[in-house]
This record gives sequence, C-alpha cells and structure tokens, in this order.
Amino acid sequence: MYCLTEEGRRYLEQGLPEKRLVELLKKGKLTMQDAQKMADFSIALLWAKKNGWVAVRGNELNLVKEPKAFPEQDALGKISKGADVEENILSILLSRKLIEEEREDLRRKAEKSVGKEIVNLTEELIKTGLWRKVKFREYNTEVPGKRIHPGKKHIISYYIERIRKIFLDLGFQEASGPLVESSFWNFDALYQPQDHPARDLADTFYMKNPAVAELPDKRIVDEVAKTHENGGITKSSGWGYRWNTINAKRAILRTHTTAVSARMLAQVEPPAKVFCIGRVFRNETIDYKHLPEFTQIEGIVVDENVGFRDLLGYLKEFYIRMGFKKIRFRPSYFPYTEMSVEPEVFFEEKGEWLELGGAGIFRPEVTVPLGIDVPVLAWGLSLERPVMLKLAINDIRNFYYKNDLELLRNINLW
Amino acid sequence: MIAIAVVEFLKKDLEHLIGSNMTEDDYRNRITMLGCPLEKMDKQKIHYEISPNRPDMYSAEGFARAIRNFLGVSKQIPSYKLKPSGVKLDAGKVDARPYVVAAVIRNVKLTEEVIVSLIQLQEKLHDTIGRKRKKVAIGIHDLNSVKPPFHYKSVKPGGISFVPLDSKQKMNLKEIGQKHPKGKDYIHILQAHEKWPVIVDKNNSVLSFPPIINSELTRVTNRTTNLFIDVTGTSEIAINQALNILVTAMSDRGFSIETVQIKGKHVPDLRPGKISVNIDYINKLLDMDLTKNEMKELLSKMCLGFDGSVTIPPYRVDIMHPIDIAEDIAIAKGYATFEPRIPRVATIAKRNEIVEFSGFLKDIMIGLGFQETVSMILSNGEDEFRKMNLPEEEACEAVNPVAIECTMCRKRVLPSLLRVLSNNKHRDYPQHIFELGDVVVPDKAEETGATIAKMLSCAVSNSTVSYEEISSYLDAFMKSLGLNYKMRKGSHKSLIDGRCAEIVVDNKSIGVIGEIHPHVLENWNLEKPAVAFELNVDEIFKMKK
Repeated sequence: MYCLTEEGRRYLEQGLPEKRLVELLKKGKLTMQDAQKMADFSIALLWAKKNGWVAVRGNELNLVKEPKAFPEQDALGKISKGADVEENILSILLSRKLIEEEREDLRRKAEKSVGKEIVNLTEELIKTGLWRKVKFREYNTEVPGKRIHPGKKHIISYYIERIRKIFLDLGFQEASGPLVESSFWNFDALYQPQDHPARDLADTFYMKNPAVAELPDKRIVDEVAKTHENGGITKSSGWGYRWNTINAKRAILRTHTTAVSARMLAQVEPPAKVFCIGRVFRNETIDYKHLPEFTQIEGIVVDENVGFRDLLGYLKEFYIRMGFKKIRFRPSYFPYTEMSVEPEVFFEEKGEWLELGGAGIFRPEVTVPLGIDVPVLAWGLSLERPVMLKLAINDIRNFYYKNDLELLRNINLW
Repeated sequence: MIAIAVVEFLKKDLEHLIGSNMTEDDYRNRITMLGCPLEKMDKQKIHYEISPNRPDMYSAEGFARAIRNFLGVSKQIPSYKLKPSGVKLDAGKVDARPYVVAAVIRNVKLTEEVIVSLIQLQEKLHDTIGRKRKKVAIGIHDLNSVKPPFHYKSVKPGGISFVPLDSKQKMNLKEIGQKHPKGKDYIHILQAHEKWPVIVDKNNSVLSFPPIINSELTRVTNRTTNLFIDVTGTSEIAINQALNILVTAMSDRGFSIETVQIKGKHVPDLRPGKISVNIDYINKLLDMDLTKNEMKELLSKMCLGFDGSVTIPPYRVDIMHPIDIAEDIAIAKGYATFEPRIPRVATIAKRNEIVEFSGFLKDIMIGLGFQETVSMILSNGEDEFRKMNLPEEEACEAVNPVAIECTMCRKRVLPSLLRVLSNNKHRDYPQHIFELGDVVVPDKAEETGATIAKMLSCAVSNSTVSYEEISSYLDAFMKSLGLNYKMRKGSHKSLIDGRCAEIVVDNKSIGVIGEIHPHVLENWNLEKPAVAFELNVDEIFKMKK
C-alpha cells in the first residue's frame, strides 16, 4: 500500500507542475521570464518537455502538443483514495518521490519487534521511529570477522614501485631495454672477453629464435673490438685476443640490466643519472635459492666530477631509504668496473653482513668506446635479496614461481 | 655469474708463509677487505672466495704473499731471480695447441703442504684462466725421470703409446681418450683436430699428452727434487700468465726457478711490468691528496713497486689500465676509510610513461578486489600452447635451457594465471587474480629480433563463476579508463564457444574475454571453473595518449 508524500499531497491539490504549465500556455505563449514566475517552474518544464508538450524557441515557451489526459494526476487521486494504479505509473511516482510505502505497512512490520530483543536494526524500525521501543541483542564484539581477501599488490611490484620512487626522488631518469638482447650489449660493450665463463651456454640463455641480433653503428662496434684486442683508444692493454663479430651478434636473454646501462651510455651526454629496474635471466635450475629469472636494480651516474666517494654515497643513500641502518662496502671484482664494490648491509636478526649486489666505476674500456670519457658510477643490485631479508621469506620461488595466494594475501608489505 | 673460485688453505701453513700468527679478526674481517670474502673456517682449514682477476691468490704461497703486505707484516716488494737450466724444448707446429712455455724448478722439497697447494693451484688455474684446460693446461713432471732436450709436437692419435698417469697399461692417444677417466673428460678439446699434441724427451719417451694427462713415467712424489713444468694452450698471453703464477708460488717456497730455452727465448720471463700512472687522476677519482711517497707506501701494501711509474710483479695478470692501480690504492687504504658523499649532479628525474600507466591500470584492478600475481616471463611450449588448447606458435626459444620449465619466453599472460590457479587449489576461494606483465614476441623488424609487449590478464575462479561476473569487471575496468568498448562475439580455443568475445575499441581488437574451456581446466588440473579476460596494454596506452 502506498500513500502520498507531502509533495504528492500538494500536487493533488494544486495540480502537477507540468499540468499547471500546460494550462497557463493554453492561454498563449509566454516569455521565459514570465513563465519562471510560476511555482515549481523547473520541475514543470522538465516533465512538460519530456512528454513533448512544450518547446522553447528563443526566449519563448510554446505549447506544441496539448495533452489529452494527465494519468499521473489521476493516479495521485486514486492513490489518495486507496485505489490501485498501473505499475508503470506507480514507478514514475515513486521515482518522483510523490508517493511512498504506506507508513502503516512499515509500522505493521516494525511493530512486530516492539518490546523484543532484536538482531537486525531494520529500515522499518528507523523510518517509524519504533527503534526507540526495541532492545538490541548484545553481540560478542570480540570475535574477529570472517576472512575476506583484499585486492593487493604483489610483493615484487610493491618493492619495485618503492625503489622507483627512491631513484626518481634522487633525480634519476627511468630507462628500459630489450629482454632478448645481443651479446654485444650484454657482454662485449661491457668489456667481457668473448671466452669469459659467464658467456658459456651453462650460464646464459642463448636464443634459437631469434638466433642473431643486429649490431649498432660500425663506429661503436669497431671501437669495442679494438678495445678488446689491444685497448684501442682507451690507454688499456686490452685482453689480447682476436675479437669476433659472430659471437657479438648472438642473441641471448639479457643476464643483467647492465646491458641497458651500456645502451644508455651510447645515448646520454653528461651529466646524466639513469636507472632501470628490470628482469634478467640466468640459465639455472629452479630451487629455493635460484630462479632462472629475477629482477635487478640498475643505475648509472655520468659526470665529470664524480668519484669513488660519490659511488658509496649513492649506494648508502639507497639502502638507508630502503630501511637498512648499517651499510659497508667490500672490494670485489667485475670485468666492467674498477673500483668494484659489493655493498653489504648488517642484518640484525641474523647478526651477519649480507651482500646485496655489485657496483663500481665503469672501466674506461667500457665508457670510452661508447663515447663517454668522464667517470661513470654504476650498480646492479639485487631486488629479491633485501626483500627476502625484510619479509623473512626463505624461498625465492615464492616470488615468480609459486605465487602462493596465502602468502600474497597475508604478507605485511609495509 | 662471475666464476668465483673457493680456495682452501691450511691455517698453519698460511701463517708459516705469512710469517705471523693470524687472529680471528684477521681471518674474518681484515683479509676480507682485500676483496676475498671468507667462505668458511674451522680449526685447521680456511676457505676464501677468490675472484678471477687474482689467480695468483689460488695458492697458499700467493695468498700469503698478498696478505703479508696487505696486513703490514712486510713491506718488501717481491722480486724473482732466475738462472738458466740448460734445458731446451723444441716447439714444433701444433695446430691443436699452438703455444707452449716451460720452466725448471730445482731443489724442491715436496711436503704435504706444498703438494696440496700446488695441486689446488693447478686445478684452479685449469678451471679459470685455463677455461677448463681448453685455453691453458699445465703439466708438472719429475725432471730426473726424463732426458732433455724435450720436443713438443703433433702426432696421429694412434701414432704413439705410453703409460698414462694412474694407469698400468700402455695406451696410444686414441685409447687414452676412450678409456682413461681424464681422457673421457677432456678429449673433446682435441676432437676436431687430426693430430694431437705430445711432449717427448730425447729418447721419444712421452712426458705429457696435453691437455689430457701426463705420463706415469714423470710422476711427482714426495721424493722428487727437480720439477719440469710445461704449459700449453691456445693463448700465448694466458700460458705465460699461468706459468708465472705457478713458478712465483714455488719460488716463495724457497725453491729455485730456472729457465727453459724455447725457440731461442728463455722462459719464464719474471721481469716486472710497468705502467705509468698520473697521480692527479688517482687523487681526483678517489678524492684524495696523495703525495708520491704516500702513494708508494700504499702501493707496497699491494706488492706493487713505484719508481716514478708503477712496477707490477709478474704474477699480477689483472692490471691493464691506470684505473686498476687506482683500485689497488683504494683497497690498500681500505674501502671503509672513504666517507660516502652525495654529489651535486644536477639532473631532472623522468618517469617511464608506460611503467607509470601500468601502475594506474594495476590500481584499478586492485580496487576491483583482485590480488596481483607476478610470474616468470620464461615458460615452455607445454604450458603456453598445449595446456591452453592452442596450436604451437613461433616463440622466442632458447637453445640450451637447463630447467625444462623454462624453454621460451611467454607470449601471453593468461597461461601464467592458470599456473597460479593450479598452484593454489588448496587456498581459499573465490580467487580473484591478475597480472600485468611483459611478454616477448619474435619480431624480425626489431634490432634484437624480438619485441616486448605488455599484457594485462585477470581471472576469477570459484565453485561457480559466470560470464556475467567477468564482463562486469571488464565493464568497470573500461569505464574507469573512460574507453568506449564493445564485446564482439568471437571464438578462442582456450575459451568455451559461445561464451567468449573479442574486446573491441574503435574497431580494433584489444583482447578477449570468456569462460575457460573445461578442457583447459583439465589440462591444468583445475577442478573449479574460471572466467578471464586479457588485454593488450600497449594498445590501451596508445588509445589513451
């Protein structure tokens, strides 16, 4: 059962606004200014236009079609007398908030609860105000809720985003590069001799398809070749072997994001600061410590006035922003850097220093053939290791291999 | 990926060679700062990781020599005396291993410690600069058991016989390759050659069949007093480096090193190398104010001499450029003494737009209640095609994968999601998961022959799921992007016919949506239905730009 709302009762007496507007216009067209003087004009215009009765021409309002009947008006009358009304008209009136469910119906429903102890506080109880006459059953409010699962970032994504922000905050430009890469950019441009063990089939994924990649400008290739053979223009002795183009063309899956740094060196002018967080590949079997695929955090700083202390400065700043408090630097070796450094952080829980990646100043044998003759600070850091330490995850397979939903749903990322 | 050698030392022997007792702190922390992390230690033995630029530290003698000066026990710069042995080696043309050098070591006293160190040094040199004997192989012989002059030559595999080490039988080279354990391990190095190398003495007795095995005849025992060393290989530089490292270690034991005459030249050549270094270059790079004397002092800690230019002992094979001297000075001074600093390098940060946009898309998915997953790009044909009910397609495949799960790069993200569902059957349902990740597609037009594409895939799995549900998610996703899209009835082998559609924007197909075919579910061992959509993020990015 429905009854009229206050607005509905008013229209029952005065007529619906659109009906009143039509009646006004039957006497002749009106200017908008005059029409606006009637009560409820905007509602009247809305419905009269919707029904196609009136049209606005310039500043004039005209009656274009005189309605034969006003079913909504009739319906208001019927409802006030308790008579039935067609469903479609009912829903129009409900949507116009001219009628509502009979308070008495609500009241009847609500009254069933009066004086009782109830479980659910209902719409009826609130609308009738009868909530004042019920008691609310006490809940055990100390029981945790039923388990639901949030939409959530993956651990790796979360940390990549966090690290991106650190380098962006430090003024670095974000770079990316190919995953299928030429041996040239992955190894040769980084002064790794062609018989270096890291280039073995056992360590590197060589591609069947595509088997070969194109080499860059002949000028760059020639300089790199000469540097390997005899040092070229770099004042180095070189490796002293015969460099071979075929080896350089072999397509591989990049083994480190340092390949991106090599490409960037051939593009940038100093001063430049570039970073890249990306997937790298090593031809390994899968176990709890090893995955054939993981993520590296790469960065270079190219500037005339930077040196060893600045390299340590950037590394320290990065790890402090990652939340590590004690950082130290250990000498290390990479074919493409000299000062080579392994940053280590002190991990309180284990009481141990743990290494987190490699860094250094690029050898002139790397930078000069690519057209850079100022120092280049460089690092290629592990993403997974510090994350595993921070989140106490022991099995690297959790990251890209298992995707254990229990772990992902429950992990506390912050 | 750098071949790190773990080298074992006897502490007692090491301290004897250093000439000083070492404390726990010395072993654990101070030595580490020379660039060799401690691997493990017990009462008698200690293991360090030695990086491949310092093969001279693979022996107890060489390691002790470096530590002695680094820790300040001595400041003496090592130098080496040689005298001629009178032994000649006639080097013939040997295509398989064109280069040979040799040395004589007299008055040796082969104690247990010396033998352990020497064998370890030989093995590590073989594995590292020797590239598993391919580039360099070392033979160590009892000189007294053979008669110089020696002759290095090529012979037919069936052409000469001898009793190889650890054998009782005389065999020809071919038989050694087939039967002897070392032959089986290393004969592949010679396989491509018609003639194989041997070293014989005056009486045509075989000393060595490099790089495979020595003769039993020249076996070295603790009674051996004079050694003959041969080093053969494919790189003249590398064989000389190996020889120098080996003889300087033996010299440090107090044995006398003598040269062998090969083609009129006397080897080894143990004269120090020289490199001129600009002190300003070092000072600028290290932000120091070193005088020449201070530099000389620091260099001596690394066993490097200084007389206006830097003198390099014959066992240091890693110094190619003045920057290597800078590093040695930094190590000598101690990395810990360099105060980290942030320089003023004025650059402006720049985000990668597609990465940024991907983050925006992920946020929408997370807002819709999906758990993000991240899978490997590496996959395999079984997962990518067969399990997905798809025909085999061209993909970026590897030649030599070690793990059978990782033979190619994925071309879609959806198979990765099914793998996640398959791995998580024991976890709570419903499961709403998505991944936005890279796939790699062969592309001849690209410089590297392949191109990276970004794809977004999402899946819902539960006891019952419906197309309606997944299309609601798609609708919410596309509306959040402000893209007008259509779903055009289509078919897809991974999806149920009549319950899938292409997702179309501006008449361009940018993805698919549908209910996973039960055949595919079965292939993945899934027991609950799943619905999914997959979108090409690069296309969406272009449309939004």
